[in-house]
Amino acid sequence: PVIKTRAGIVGIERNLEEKQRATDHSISAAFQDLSKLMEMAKDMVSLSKTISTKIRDKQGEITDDETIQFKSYLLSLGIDDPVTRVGYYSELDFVMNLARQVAEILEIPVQEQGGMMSMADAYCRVNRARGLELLSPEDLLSACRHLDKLSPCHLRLREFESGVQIIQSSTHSDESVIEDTVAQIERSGTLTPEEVSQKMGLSLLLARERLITTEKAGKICRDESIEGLRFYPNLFLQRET
Amino acid sequence: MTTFEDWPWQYSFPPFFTVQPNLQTRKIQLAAWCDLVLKYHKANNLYVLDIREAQGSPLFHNVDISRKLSIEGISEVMNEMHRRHNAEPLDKTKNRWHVLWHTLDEW
Repeated sequence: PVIKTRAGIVGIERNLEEKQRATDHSISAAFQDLSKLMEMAKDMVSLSKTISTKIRDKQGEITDDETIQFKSYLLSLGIDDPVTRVGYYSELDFVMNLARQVAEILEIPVQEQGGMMSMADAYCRVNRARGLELLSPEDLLSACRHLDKLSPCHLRLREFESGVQIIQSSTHSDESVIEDTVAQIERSGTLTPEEVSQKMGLSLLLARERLITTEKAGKICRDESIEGLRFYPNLFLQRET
Repeated sequence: MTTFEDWPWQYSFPPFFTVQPNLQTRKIQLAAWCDLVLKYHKANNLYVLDIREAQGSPLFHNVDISRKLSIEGISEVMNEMHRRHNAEPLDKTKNRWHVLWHTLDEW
């Protein structure tokens, strides 16, 4: 048997070398496993693609149940293929159930925030409430797209022209927002988005959207200068009449 | 150099110096600007307006509230006046304008 000498510089060097070899081995083993796993996944992807072409070809023969099952397979794989899937079923069990849950979690917080919550806030809240089994942004978004299809639901998804997406309570209408904002501005003469967000206890993003909605309705007008963006009551229109 | 005292209320209203994104509001705003430009030129006996220099004049720059209308804003006002036949461009780049107190037909 080989005698291991631990003494001297040679011994130390040999020790180091051995350690390195061990880490090398574990690293390469990990990558090997990974590539094997990926190969398996590749098979699954090609399989699912053939299935989706099959669905496309024989439209009537596959029942709704089967397509739903297939969709949940895809989701568990992490393949998203909405372009070909969307035509066959608008609803997926997973998403619908998720939507129901999201609605339950968010209903009260949204009311507390004045009827609007930005998607980022919603994402934080939902995932913080879940702790484990977190949601991906896509999952939450697609769940929110289905919010209005739930029958007893008071929330819906809404996109502003700036691309900002929010969750809005259905009891909350633009008209009431505009009225509120106008009243607020008339009370103080002029306001910046920051001031609105402080006064109304809203996030800056939502305060801005509120002001822009109100401006679009022609109730307020803007003053842009190096001091920042301010909003005034729309005296142009008011004094005109 | 100027003796113009007859500023309209809009002149001390800061949003007057920002081109309004709301279409309806902007229409009213531009109308007010056109009136003001005409009145100002008439009162001071001026008939040429150079957009590049105009920002220096008190017409487009209210020192009291430290707001001035941007160059783009001024050209928009001038284009609107052109539509109303109260202004004629002097060169192709539309930098210099004749301001007509009365439209050419009226003269």
